[in-house]
Amino acid sequence: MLALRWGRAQAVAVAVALSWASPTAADSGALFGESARAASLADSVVARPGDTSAIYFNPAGVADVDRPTLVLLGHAGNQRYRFARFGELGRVTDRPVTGYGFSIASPIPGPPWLNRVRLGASVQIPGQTIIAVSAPVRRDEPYSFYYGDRTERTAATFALAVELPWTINVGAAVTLTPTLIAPTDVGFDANRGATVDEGVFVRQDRDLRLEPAFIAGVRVQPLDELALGLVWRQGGSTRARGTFDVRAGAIRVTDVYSFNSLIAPMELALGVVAWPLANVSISLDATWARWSEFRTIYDEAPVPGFSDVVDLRAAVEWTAHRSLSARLGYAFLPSPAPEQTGRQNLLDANRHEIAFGLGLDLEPLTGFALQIDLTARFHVMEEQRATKDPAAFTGTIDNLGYPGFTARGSFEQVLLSLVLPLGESIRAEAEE
Amino acid sequence: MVELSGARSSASLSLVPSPPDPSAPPLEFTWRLEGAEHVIVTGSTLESALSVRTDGVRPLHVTLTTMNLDGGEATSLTTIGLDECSP
Repeated sequence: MLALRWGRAQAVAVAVALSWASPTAADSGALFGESARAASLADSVVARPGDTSAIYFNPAGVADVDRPTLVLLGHAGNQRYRFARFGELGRVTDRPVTGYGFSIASPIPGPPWLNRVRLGASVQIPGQTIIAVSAPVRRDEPYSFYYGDRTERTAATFALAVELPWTINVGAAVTLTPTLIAPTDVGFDANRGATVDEGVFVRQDRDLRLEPAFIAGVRVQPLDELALGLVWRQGGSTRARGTFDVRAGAIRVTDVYSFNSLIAPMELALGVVAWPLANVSISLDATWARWSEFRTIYDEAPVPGFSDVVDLRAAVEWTAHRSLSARLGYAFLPSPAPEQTGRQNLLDANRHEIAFGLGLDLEPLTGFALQIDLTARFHVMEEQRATKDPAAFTGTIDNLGYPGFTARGSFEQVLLSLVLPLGESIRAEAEE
Repeated sequence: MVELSGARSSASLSLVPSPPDPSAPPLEFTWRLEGAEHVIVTGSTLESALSVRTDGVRPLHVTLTTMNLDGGEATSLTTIGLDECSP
């Protein structure tokens, strides 16, 4: 396993670099790094009145944030996979998933026309490393592209939203994702030491660059009981690339490596939310995801190729009391991966997401402006089954998935968000 | 019959292939065999070498993990594949 990781020391520097303007996160675009409220709604939030999670899911929703709001968020979970070739017991691998971040959104103070403009920003930092790109040495290594290194990704998103007349909100955002450039120079100097090892020198440079991915959305609420949202997300990947330049005397060998670690495919999401009762909202989102453009960790198209999919998400939020909300979300996330009949062993299957959450608003009870959101989220995957096609193999068969395999994954996570309003409602001030 | 040996494993990282230092502390070996049905004929999965008899119906995946006294681990995976043969 070749793994390029940046540690905690570099994390601090990059976190500062990402957050100097002002903070927010998936809210930030990082997988599983959104606010607890959005997670409890299974991310069915495209049409919902925005909180800071709108920064990523639909930046138009940021225009609904009418007071400066800071959200502190943290999450911890575990991702598990069981892989077994036919006739074998197989093995189970666990991977912890942790992270924390913060989001902020605010109207711009000033004249009323400027109050219609909102800004938001979000940052999420994984608990282990700020960026991890792990490439198995063997290309047939069973590998989960859906989770993989996507759970260890620093991301920052900055949003701008405008509240237009006729209850139309529009917004745009940019997500910054890191790309690692690491050229390596290996040489040999016979005068450096007594042994062969001492004569070898390795110079490695590292450069972390931030590349943008854009998001644009609109939210319309034609009726008090109904709202619609539409958002386009460009998606993107973290890349790790570099060169090897190996020299020994007159012999020189150069090589190039390029790894592509998916963050998210391009997506187009349409959402609707309705309030059948004043204290109950129901939302439904459909998201088209362009997985057909997916490239593997080796920056290659998978064989056989992937298909585009449509994710379906639904959620209910019940405000049981002015201080207490209960939330339930469900999502069906179909797998874009066909049966793995060839040399690759990409692990994935249809996925069911279930989330529960509670929100406690202390302000009506105590006068202290603090909202606490707590969520539990689960992924249950259907069993993946693949039978290898012998025609796909020529010569020696040494594939790690031969003659076929079954796999099943799961994911459990707990999320906590603290929502801290930092000022009075700009909209309320204007009305007064 | 397949002979497996970790005898060329070294306690320290070497940039160029070199034989292990004979004065270095011994390493711990752990073998994991997966895939083809197999029987260990000599040695064990905790020794530096073992011989295995396999039915050859499917590939045999052999993983060797070595650990030095400091707790440093290195893992290597190789597969004994199947060659196409005429019926």
